[in-house]
Amino acid sequence: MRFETLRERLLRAGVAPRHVKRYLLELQDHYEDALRAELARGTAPPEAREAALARLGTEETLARGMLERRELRSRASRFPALYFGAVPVVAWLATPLVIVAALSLLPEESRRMKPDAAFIDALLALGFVYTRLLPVLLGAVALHMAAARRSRALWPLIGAGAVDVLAGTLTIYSFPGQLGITSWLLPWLLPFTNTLGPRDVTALGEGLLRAALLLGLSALAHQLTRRLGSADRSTLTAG
Amino acid sequence: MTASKTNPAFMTGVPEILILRLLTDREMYGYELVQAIEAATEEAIKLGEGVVYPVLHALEASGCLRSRRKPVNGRTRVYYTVTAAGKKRLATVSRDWARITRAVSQVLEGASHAV
Repeated sequence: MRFETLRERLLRAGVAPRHVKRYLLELQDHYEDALRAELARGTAPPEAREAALARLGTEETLARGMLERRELRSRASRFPALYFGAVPVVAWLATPLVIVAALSLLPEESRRMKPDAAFIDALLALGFVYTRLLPVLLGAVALHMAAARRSRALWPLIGAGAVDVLAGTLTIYSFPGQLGITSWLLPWLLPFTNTLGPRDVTALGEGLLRAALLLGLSALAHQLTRRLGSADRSTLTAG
Repeated sequence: MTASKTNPAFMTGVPEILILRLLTDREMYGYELVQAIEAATEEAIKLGEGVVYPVLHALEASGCLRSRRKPVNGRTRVYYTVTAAGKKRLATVSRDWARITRAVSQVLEGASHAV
């Protein structure tokens, strides 16, 4: 890629990835048009390439043009703690509220029906997705978005880690006709009350181990998508 | 190449006016727009050609332009067109531009009379 150093410079300075991507595509296209025009004028290929690049401007000019415009900066790069630290936690906490709100839209008769075993199983599966899959996905997305903006991994790791601790220390279980949920973390956070259940060190330890595993899976998923992305880019460059 | 470019000290805001005005007539992609600027100004204004893109992106971000990707001869080009907000902005900046050039001309004429 001809403008690779420009891309890195712009991303590191916080320009939104979509603007960087389009800018480089447009510059590449512009260069090809200018090169064609120079060749049509009868300029020899090496000089034509040089002239086409000179017409675009120096890398310094090209970078400055984008950096001077603050409206092209990514909000996530300006507020990484908010976007990569807080948003994953809020999104994870808000998901059940959205599901409950969606269920409340069902007709009243279906809401009054006694839940059968299949319904309980479906809720159990949904609970598994919520506590074991969604945290991995949120973590991977936060890490991916931070990497795309060349932001440090600290905030996405904090955000994803918080979600993983909350989710990993939750246990969802079913018994005939009902569904139960236990947090092994909350009793430790609110030590002045016993209403939230027992303070079980072993269960908390298992939950924290699960949280570490979830975080590891997020990092793994992020690395895999990164490798696939760079493989795609190399194929395009080679093509 | 750089030597033939227009003095950058006079160029603040000029690409924006030219871009908005030229895109009012028809949609264009970046290279086409640079050629149009040179043709319309009889090469009095020559830009580092890459600088039009940040201006285009910023105008789009402020709602003055709209872009669309269009496949042309096996390539996908980004075409820009002026929105209603862009037309309003052009009217405002054109008025400002006319006021300033008038004022500068008056000063220059005054100075030449004084000499």
